Amino acid sequence: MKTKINGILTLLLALVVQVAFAQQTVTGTVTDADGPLFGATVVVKGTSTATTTDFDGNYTIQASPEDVLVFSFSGYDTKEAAVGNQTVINQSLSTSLETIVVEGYRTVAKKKSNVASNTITAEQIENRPNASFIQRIQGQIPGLNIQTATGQPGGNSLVQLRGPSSINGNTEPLFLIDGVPVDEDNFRSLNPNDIDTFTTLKDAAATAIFGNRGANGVIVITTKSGKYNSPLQINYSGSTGFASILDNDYDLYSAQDYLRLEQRTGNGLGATLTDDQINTFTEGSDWSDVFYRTGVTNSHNLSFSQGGEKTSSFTSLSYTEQDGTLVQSKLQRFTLRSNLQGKSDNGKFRYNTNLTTGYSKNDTPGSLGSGLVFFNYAFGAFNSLPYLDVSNYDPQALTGINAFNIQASPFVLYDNLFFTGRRVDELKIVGGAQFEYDLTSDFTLKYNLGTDYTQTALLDYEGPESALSRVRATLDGRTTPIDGNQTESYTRDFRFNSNLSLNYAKSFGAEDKHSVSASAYIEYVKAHFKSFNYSVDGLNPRTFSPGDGSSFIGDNGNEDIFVPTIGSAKNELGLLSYFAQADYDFDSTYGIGATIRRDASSRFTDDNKWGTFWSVAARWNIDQEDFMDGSVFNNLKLRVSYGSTGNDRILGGYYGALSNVRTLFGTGQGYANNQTFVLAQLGNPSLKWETITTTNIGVEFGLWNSRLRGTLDVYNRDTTELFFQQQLSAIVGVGTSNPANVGDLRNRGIELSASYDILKPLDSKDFGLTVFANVAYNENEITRVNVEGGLLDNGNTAIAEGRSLNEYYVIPFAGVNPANGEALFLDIDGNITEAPTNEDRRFTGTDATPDAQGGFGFNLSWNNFFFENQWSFITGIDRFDFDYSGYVDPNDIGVTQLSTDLERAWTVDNRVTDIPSLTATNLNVPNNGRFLKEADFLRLRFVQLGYNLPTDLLEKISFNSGRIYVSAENLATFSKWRGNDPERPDGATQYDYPTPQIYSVGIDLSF
Amino acid sequence: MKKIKFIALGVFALLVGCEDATDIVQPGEFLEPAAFQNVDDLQAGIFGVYSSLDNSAVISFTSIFTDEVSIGRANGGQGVTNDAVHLYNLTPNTGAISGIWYNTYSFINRANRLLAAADAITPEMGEEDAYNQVRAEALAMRAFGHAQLMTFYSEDLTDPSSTGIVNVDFVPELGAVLPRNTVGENLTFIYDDLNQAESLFLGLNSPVMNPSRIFINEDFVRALRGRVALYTENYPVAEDMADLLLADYSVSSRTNFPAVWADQSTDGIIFKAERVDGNGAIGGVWNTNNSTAGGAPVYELSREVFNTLDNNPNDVRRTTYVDPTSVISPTYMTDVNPRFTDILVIDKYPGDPSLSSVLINDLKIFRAAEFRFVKAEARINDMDLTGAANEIKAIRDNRYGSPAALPVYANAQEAWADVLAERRLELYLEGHRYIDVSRLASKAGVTGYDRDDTDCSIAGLANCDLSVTETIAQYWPIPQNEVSATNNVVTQNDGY
Repeated sequence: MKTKINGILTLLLALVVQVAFAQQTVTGTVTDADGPLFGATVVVKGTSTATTTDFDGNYTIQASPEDVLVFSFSGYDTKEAAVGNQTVINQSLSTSLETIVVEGYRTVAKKKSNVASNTITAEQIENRPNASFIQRIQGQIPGLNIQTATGQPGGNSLVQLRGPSSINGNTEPLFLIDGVPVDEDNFRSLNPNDIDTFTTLKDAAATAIFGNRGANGVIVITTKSGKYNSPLQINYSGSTGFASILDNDYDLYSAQDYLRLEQRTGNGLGATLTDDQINTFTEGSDWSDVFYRTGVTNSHNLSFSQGGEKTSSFTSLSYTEQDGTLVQSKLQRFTLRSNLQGKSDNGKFRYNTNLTTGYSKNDTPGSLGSGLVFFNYAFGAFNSLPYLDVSNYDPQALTGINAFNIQASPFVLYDNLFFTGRRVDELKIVGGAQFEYDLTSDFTLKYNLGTDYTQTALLDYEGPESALSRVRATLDGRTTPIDGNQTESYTRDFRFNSNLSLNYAKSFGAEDKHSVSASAYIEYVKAHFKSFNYSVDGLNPRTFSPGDGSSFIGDNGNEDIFVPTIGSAKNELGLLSYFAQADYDFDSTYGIGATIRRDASSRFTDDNKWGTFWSVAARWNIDQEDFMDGSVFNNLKLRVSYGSTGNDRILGGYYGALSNVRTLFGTGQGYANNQTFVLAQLGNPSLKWETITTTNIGVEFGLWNSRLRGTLDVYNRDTTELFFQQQLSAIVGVGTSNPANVGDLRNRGIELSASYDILKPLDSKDFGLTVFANVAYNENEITRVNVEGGLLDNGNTAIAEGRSLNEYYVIPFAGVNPANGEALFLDIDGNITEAPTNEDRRFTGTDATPDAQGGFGFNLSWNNFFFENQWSFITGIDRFDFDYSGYVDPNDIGVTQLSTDLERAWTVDNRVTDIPSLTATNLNVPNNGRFLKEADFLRLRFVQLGYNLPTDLLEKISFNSGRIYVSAENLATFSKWRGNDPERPDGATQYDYPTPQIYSVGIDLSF
Repeated sequence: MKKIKFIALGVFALLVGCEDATDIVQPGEFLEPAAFQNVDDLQAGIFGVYSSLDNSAVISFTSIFTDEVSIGRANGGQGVTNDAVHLYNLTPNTGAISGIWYNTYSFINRANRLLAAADAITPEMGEEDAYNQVRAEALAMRAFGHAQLMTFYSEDLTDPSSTGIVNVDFVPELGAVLPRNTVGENLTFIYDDLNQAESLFLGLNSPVMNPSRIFINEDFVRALRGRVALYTENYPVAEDMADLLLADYSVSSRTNFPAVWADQSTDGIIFKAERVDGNGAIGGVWNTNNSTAGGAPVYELSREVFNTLDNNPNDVRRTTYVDPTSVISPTYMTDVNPRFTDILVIDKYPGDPSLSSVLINDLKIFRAAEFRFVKAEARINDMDLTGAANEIKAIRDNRYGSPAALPVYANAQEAWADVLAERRLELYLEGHRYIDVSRLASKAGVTGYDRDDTDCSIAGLANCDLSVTETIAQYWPIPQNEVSATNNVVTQNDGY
């Protein structure tokens, strides 16, 4: 309380003091080389009087003639000006030479950075309608592939940098938020608007220092912070959005046409109707409208930032409510963030703390992507018989096991809507603190501490009055004919990270042209996981309420089914590392750097526990050379790096493969209900890290005063000691395989990103036009597989030497035999056959991983209006379209919805066609390639039109700045893929929940 | 200087506190040295060996591959897509083939681990019986595992020099590889284990009481020896065993027969593997929810089996195997879609009504009836056709409502054919049909499998009746994974 009162007193005092002097109004414009600067800070030196510039760079401030004004802006050199008798002070700021790159453990001046990295800033993330910030970044960073398998708001995405580096292991980058490593799969409880910068570190020079966690690249996120000596600034942004499902191109049947098909083939309802009855048939629902909807999003974000001489703060609050397009899918999120920084009077001691708390409620329907027809709403939406009508839903008709055939699934699913639910409540707290102390002018001691805490509570229930519960209650002759089930599951995940470092930096020689820096670190990581769950059958409808236990029937002596089942788990893991880095720079023209790191992982044992990773890098800032004087290049930098990183998450999951080195027995229920124990796992003590060695050559360029700017990188990444299943003889007694380090693979590629300012506005009345593009090409190849024949057969894919990872391995479909309507395939010798075998499979040269991917677009501004758009594309992905396979399966006539492609099925009168006869007998040839389809796409990922509110209007309502906008995500998609959404990370799709199209309108205000 | 001391202290503190990050044992880890320490541990451990004594995969595969079942009303592609076993798609990559091979060796591994542990333990006074019994059980189960593998994966059971399976009597290391033994070596191995087990059982001070028939004793040993001897055409040994067993066990009565399958009676059972809540549900192979027409049958009785049963309405197997809710279409051959109009629900495994979970039944491994057939085959081999007929009659008397007529066989082929046909009914869905056709079809003058044309058209199968001359009807392939993992040290069978 005391501090608050002090604060208020200070404020009062300041006001009093100000009144005591003669004041004058000073106005002016703050500009940079490109034009007005919005948001620059103007402070009366030594006071708390401050303001910020508006969109036109204008400011107004009260000051005395003896005052000095301080002009500052992030990324620019600060300037000062004495007021004197001036009433207009225009100030031009220039870009700070020290544009910095956040490299995880440290920040480095851009010019002196040896690493391959790309940074995007808040503007490229904010004001997008997607609830997941990672999905907002899609298509914006070359080589960073982001694919999302679900339309669930805030759902997880697959994030992969420069191709998959592992088969079973984790392939996603390490994410650091303000220096705190966080779970890479879960961002639904974090506020995207808090993000300030998003930096992707790519090459070994940048990632080797992260040792066994840097193998797949590192993403360094910083959140916003207050600036020293800046006035209180309050920002509000709010938006409303509408999400809808993207349509598919399967040409599904109408009710009448479907009945005609049934009539023709003697199936289902249609077989019992006359032509007249079909022609006058009026029933039928669009079941996609029953199970999908327009999802409404509302989002509010409020932030406060300010700073004094010694402390500054940033605080934000946000609330987001987003309905998914699928029924019962929803995200509700509340977040609070507090970032503080401060320093001692002499500036030798500095600290900052970052703390965010997010709480989200996620309604997440289960069974998506599965063939559980009574549980998967996505199945009901597009696979229900079109002549069934939702108005005929009658719970009493869903009685008796015979009512539960596949045809009835839409009604069962519809019934579920009233009685079932699945929700995950999540609390996430990410906290970090950094302390720095300058021991001498050359030595600095730093300590970083971070925690990532996630707690989830899952509730999954099926009420006792649902149709499924009612029928289950009658199935096994229970004396208490009640069913209904409820599962609750709690998890707690705590990850702790501690890092102590001693840093040295010194410049010497003439004009301090030589500079060296070196650091030594000790890092300690520990993580703890705990879960508990129960599942109960038998809920008394009189007292049933989801998430409550009053209704449990419990063990009644007759039926063991009412006894709840429970589960509990506890895990921990740890890492300990020592590492160091050193850099030398000459005159910002030449630089070399090296890192070395020793890591111990709790996953490994004995000699394999410790791993050593290292890198070397060199740089040449060609633009600094004398011979470049007068050239169009204002920036030209060549970088070369080589080094190794490791992956200890050899089974992917954060808590995976924790004890694989040890032989373990497990206890449990044995024969005839006796407790026993059996071998649970045969240990492999020789397990070790997967090692990834990367060579990277890059060029950074800026021409015509950075009007054209960009980067070009080529790389080669070799993964050795790949961890995957090594085939075993049965006699070992533990099944077909056991994990071991038995393969190598390689990713190599090229990445280019560039921006060009076609029109540079001198003031806001002018046109401004910037175009940008990035593209990355990656080639993946397995270089060694330690199995016989170098081929690991996974059915319709295989892992084989000289092939890409999980390349498709199928029997080619060769059309339809005009003679008999049977499907035709190619045998291994290239001959047509109707009866191929698995030996006729071959590699297709395609897989589910992108070859080329990227994004492009342009930003246009004129007279307070701004327009931006961003396209994204992926090429080289193929996928099994099992949705389509279901839609053309003649066995499903009378059972589920189908494609009108069946109308051109082979008949004696229609012999030349691509659809086999409805009675063809070889449609189910295993591992055939008929439904393997190209899924390349080009998509208008994001488009936005906005208007900056005019200054005079804002001044009247005492706002600093304001803008309104409309935007859309996934507005248009171009693809041969016939399903709802081509942008998925998997090799096969059926009955999935696609990502939506979202429109939104929003407003940003600052005061 | 003070600062440096402070830093040094801090670094030291960090280092000391760091081992807990690198040496982590997960909660609940049960390490090998702690597992088997005394006879009590062996007694607990034997239940783990028992729990993987299983023939459900053999029963399941046999029924789907041969002519025991047809595609059911609720079939969602099982048996006809992916592995397509029902369409005679049998390759080294067939899942069931790999599953049985690997699971049986895991079972053998459990027995070997227990036997190896027992070798290192000396029983204390008063523990000898328990110790010897556990070892006898483990030896018998190890023999059962080897016998099961040899039966299906060796090329010719009647030729001792033919390639058999791999004998394993130790605990192999990760990556261990051994070549296949001959059938003769397999037989020696199995008989050795059985002899040892038998003498241990017979040497117990208090013999194993086995009223529930779910534990192994000397009768299990003899039954296994009898079966193995029969398959390898060692008829004298087979008949000796049959005689020993039939002295103590009679064929289950007609009255008790349905209760035997609902696990309410042990009549006629020599050994069954008990299955309780939480174990696999054998009935789930053919039915989804329960064994009624509305219980979503995935597979149904083959029409040929049904027609044979239906010829004799008094045969208790007709009412026991076929659920009363079945929808029987007399015009199934001409029905537009017989899959939905002719529903023959398998009820041989209706589920034990005393359990909470549905469709769980004990797995009947050895029944007295099987040894009537063993004796019958031995009689035919001796050209005592009347003797064989008596054995067949002994079974039928307990199945038909009235005493059955004594069959009359004009020649051995007719007798073999009758044994094969009666085994098809009596041992229906017990995992015998594949090996029976393989062993007996040529002797019986039978082409091979006998499927109904309507069943085949539902399945979309052009080549309806598989001939026994086809390799896939004689023996199974070695799983591809085994051949690959051993780099061809374990060789593939001829014809695959």
